[in-house]
Amino acid sequence: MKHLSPEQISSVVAGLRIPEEDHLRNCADCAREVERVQSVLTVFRSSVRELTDKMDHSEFPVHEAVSSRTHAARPHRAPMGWVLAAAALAAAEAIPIYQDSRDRELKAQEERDAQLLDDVNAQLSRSGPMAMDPLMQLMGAPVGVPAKEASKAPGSEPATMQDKGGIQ
Amino acid sequence: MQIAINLVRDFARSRRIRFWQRVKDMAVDCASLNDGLASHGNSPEAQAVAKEQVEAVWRATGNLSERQRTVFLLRFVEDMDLLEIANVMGVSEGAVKVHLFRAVHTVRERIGAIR
Repeated sequence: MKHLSPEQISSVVAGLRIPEEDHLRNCADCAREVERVQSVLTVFRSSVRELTDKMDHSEFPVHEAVSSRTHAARPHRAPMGWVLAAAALAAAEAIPIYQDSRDRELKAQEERDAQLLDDVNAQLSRSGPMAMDPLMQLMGAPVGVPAKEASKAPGSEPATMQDKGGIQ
Repeated sequence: MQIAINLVRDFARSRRIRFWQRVKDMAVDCASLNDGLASHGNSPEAQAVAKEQVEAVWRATGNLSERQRTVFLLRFVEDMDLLEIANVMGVSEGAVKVHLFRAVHTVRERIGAIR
């Protein structure tokens, strides 16, 4: 009977499939060799793991970690919950104040806009240029009042030259 | 439950990663590795053989290439399967098989004389 080659045994130990698996089931020698290598690797694994555990405890002992948490004087810090609650309260108070001032500002802006629009309308509806105002006053028309309105006013005289028949 | 199991596994692995970091820096030698061997009620002869075998495996891993050693340790110390190793190392499963086979073969040759 031909036994498994060293490469085939290594493949089996590595967990790789080989075509001669039937032989492994029937041959005690080959099975024993595979088992031997596997047991060595198992011992290796446990020794590494135990060493890791030991190193871990020696580097950072649990009891020291626990005692340092319970006994060490920690700097006083405000709990995060209180900080968040204070921030939320401040925000809740600040938002209405901000909205109120914003409303006031908008209202003032509207008033300024309306005033500006009135000024513009008044300027556009003037019967003559600003330089003519003194002459217009002499002629009896109210300054800045449209000529038609001035002429419609009871007891008023024609405001412009045209109303009076124009300049001859 | 699975989450808890994974957390424990990750924690154990992270500890061992630190260990392998030390190994890489050559801060761990065979003697300290053998200190980790528990007797578990074995006879002194069996313990002596076990120590010898562990030392042999340890020395053999020192002769492996970086990738072979990584695959070997992930497989036989961390109990990771081939696909897991492939994902961790960013290589194909076939490449993992090749590295693992070569690593096992080298280690086996080293420990072959110890019975």
